[in-house]
Amino acid sequence: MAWMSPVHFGTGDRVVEMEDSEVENLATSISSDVDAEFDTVIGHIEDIIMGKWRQYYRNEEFQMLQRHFMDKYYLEFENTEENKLSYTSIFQEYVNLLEKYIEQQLIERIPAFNMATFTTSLQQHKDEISGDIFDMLLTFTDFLAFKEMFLDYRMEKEGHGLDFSGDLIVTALSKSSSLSPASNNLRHF
Amino acid sequence: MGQCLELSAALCRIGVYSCFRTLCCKGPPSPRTEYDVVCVGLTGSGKSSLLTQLCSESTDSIIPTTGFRIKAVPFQNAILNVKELGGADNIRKYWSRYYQGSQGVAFVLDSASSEDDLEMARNELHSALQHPQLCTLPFLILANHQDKPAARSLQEIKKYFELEPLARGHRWILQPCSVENMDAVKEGFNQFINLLEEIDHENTPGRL
Repeated sequence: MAWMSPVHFGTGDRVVEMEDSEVENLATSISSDVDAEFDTVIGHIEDIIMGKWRQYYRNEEFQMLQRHFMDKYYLEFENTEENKLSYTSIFQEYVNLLEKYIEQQLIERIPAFNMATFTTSLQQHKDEISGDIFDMLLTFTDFLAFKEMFLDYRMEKEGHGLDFSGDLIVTALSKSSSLSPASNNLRHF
Repeated sequence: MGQCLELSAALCRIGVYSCFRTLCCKGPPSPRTEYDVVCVGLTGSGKSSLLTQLCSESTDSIIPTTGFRIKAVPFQNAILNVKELGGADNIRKYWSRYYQGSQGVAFVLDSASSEDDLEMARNELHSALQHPQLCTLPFLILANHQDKPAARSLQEIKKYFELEPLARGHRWILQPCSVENMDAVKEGFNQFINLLEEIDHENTPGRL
């Protein structure tokens, strides 16, 4: 999951719009209040990650925080099965920085926000959270998701790391040698 | 800070099965229970080799682990998410950082090691048994390298490691094994999984 791939947010088939009137129109079920609350929080998390606040103020703070953090440490990560001990302390730092940021933002947006209630709802609604937002949240708890994010970032920074040296054969041009097609294997891009 | 951990804990419990973890058996994942296990032991005891063999991978390129590995090891009744830590002197002090969230401990020892190393292994095992984060967990103790001539017997190991008195309060299994006899290794782990299942059921009353 490349960290900067285009993200399409939505809970299942519904795209959650965060206008006040639409919050009240969210689908109802037996425990409709709790469900609506849960959807609200997820919607806010999407906004926080995407850098939206009431639709008209763009603030890319979250993405900047994340990118700045990855710039600091991406060279430490290598694509091997074995993990360096340093990955663990970097992971702790990442969680402290970014999960805390999301929590603070949630409290600002939802005055009565209660983390305990939300995490209970998270269990019950786990199938409804779209892949992208879940992947994002997963990097806070799943070390391997976090590592993958860094490896993807490193690959992006270092230009995919593809090695064409084996595909190129350079033949010197001189009067005495003739240039035959077989000896000229330059691949054109 | 407490609230941050709640979110993390909730997401952990969701346990998205296929996310980013390479299950080392090729084939579609089936809904088996998963348990988180930490695997420790001195360097050279055979942790990496045993886990790699359990995943049917080649052990040709194994070198001493200097960090840690995470492997999802499949068994018939469950999948063990094993966090394997390097056992060299300079790494052992970091073991406790990786204990949190473990449901069981696999301790690997070299049955044929020197007296000094055996003593070191005993100290480490005792520390683990008494560590606050591990003191209530079941232990699988793998007495590895049984194929070597210098290997101590099961009885000798049990006595030397003072398992009867010191592992009191734990459920534990002592399994002799070697990489030449993977059946014994699997047997040990399967019994271990039974222990983990028992404990799971005890902790969730009313659930079948």
